[in-house]
Amino acid sequence: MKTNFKKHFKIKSIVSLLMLAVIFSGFVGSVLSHADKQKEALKNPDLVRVVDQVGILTAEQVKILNQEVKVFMEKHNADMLVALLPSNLSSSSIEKLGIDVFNDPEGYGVGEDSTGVALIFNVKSRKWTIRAQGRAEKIMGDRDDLERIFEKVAEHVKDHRNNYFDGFREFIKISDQNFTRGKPMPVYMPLWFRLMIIFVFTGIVVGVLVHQMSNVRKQTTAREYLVEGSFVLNDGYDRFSHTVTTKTKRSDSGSSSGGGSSGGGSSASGSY
Amino acid sequence: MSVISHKCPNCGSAVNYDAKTGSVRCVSCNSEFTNEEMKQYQDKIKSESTTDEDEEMDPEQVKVATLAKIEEIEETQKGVEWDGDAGYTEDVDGGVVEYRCPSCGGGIIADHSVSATKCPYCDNPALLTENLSGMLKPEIVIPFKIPREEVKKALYKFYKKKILLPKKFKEENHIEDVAGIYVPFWLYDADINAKYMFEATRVRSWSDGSYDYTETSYYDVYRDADMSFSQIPVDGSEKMDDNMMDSIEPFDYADNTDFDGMYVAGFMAEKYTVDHKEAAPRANLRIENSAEDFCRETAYGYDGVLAKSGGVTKTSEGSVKYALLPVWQLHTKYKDKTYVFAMNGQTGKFVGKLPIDKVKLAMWTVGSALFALGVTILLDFWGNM
Repeated sequence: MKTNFKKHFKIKSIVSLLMLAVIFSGFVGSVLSHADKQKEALKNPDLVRVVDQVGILTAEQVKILNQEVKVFMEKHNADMLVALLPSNLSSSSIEKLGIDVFNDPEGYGVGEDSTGVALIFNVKSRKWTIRAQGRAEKIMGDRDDLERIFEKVAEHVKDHRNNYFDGFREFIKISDQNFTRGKPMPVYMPLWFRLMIIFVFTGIVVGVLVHQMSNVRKQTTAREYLVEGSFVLNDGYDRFSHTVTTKTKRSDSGSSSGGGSSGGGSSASGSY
Repeated sequence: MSVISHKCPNCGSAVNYDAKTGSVRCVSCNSEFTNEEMKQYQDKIKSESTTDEDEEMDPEQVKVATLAKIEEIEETQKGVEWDGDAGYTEDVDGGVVEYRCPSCGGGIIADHSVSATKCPYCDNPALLTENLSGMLKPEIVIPFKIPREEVKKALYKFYKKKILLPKKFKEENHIEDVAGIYVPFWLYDADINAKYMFEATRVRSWSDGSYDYTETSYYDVYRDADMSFSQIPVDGSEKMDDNMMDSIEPFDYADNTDFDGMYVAGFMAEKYTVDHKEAAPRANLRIENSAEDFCRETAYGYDGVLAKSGGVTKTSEGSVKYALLPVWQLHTKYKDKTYVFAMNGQTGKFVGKLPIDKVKLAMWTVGSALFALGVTILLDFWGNM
């Protein structure tokens, strides 16, 4: 009986140890493979993630931005580029540049789909572009979502405020929030629009209720007293007089992109 | 005599016009007579009567003389000026006149605009004939078709679905009197020519890569048209609210009939206090507006057509008829304010202005605003799902 017990205990111990070994090796393997995957996924770790070719940012600001970008990249397994360029680019050119930096095999991005986000300013022509590449497209959203992100960033740089440091930090913060949430930032209707809906709806409801309290109306026409068949058109003409054409510049607020050869993405660009 | 009262051929009591049946009914024996039967009765009495008013007359003779007077009134030629100083009325105070009831001899006090009423002593209907003769004699009348008992029903129906109506108004208001009134109306006929110059526009929009374009083409559109209007009603009473009388339109003129005092029996009736010349601008304005509309409607294919200039001229001398049209009128008081309602006595169209409960109004305003706010929040939520 005692021998059987010992034998049984021995077998049980071996099975347990084997199971533990399998679980541990799986865990270690998983951790190792994940680490390998992340390490391999970053297409070009040597690239500079905070670019200031204009010399606007201080060394301290660049350091802080680099730190925040690094945290973002590690946390979300996605690449990030924030850049200030001196060249004189148009909206379409800067937008193309935003696409190219991810499509370049030696360029930015993580993984096969080159996941990453970029905010690029062309300081001289005051143009901007935001690119969301690969997995980031779903997270950062379409052109409208990217434009809304830039509206937040623009609060720091538009009207020649030129606070690019805070602008970049805002972009990093919003990108971090979106990646944490896994979807674009929520869109709330503007206050004026909300108030307009409230006023119009309330006005219609109250107007109808008040209107139905009285059906006393002054008659201003005699339409129903026209003798049937008495209307005879004697004379008349329709002569062209003149034409007035108005031309309004379309808002230069950006366009969306279907993506390049190394995976899809969304872009927005414009002036600030 | 200047005051007449229709009598029952059976018992001699007063008769009223019954809107429901379109006949005349005795208030005492409930006998019913057609207008034709009443006329035959009047003819019979007339042939037996004497017209010498200086003689002492027994009640039957008074009756005969009264009915004979109806005939006399109805034969009065249009265009004869009304003489306000007729001998059988007495001006008692500032335009108020005392008449003598032919049934009981009691005094009926009424102003100059009243042409039919009831004797306050014997309740017999009385026609104040001098207000229905000469220029004051209506050419046509539309008899009441809607009976008195339908009026209050219509009022309560009018209350329905009026969310802002004060609860107390519904509970506490007492319609004490429903007055059937023949309101004087002028009916205008006009053949006109309209000439209008319009500015019409066509709008075209397109875009290219950089700009949005809007092209507005302007056209001068001219129209010259003839048209005729028939029997545009304008009330000739200062007492009645003009907008209210406008609102009870339309009347169905197919029911027009020559004036017969029998239709007025049991109702109030007024003579006009606004003559056809004074009332004409209201009809003219309606004609001009409609003429402009009809001409504008012939300008097809434009995005906008605005009148720049134009107007109407008469192509033939317009005519005007004096008519008595049936109106039920109700008064009620709420918080020391009088609310008046009117009902078309022919079609049953009911009009009026109801009081508004300010607390309910405030609640609905706030409630609607909160509801709209809730909808905007839901839209936000739905959009971000």
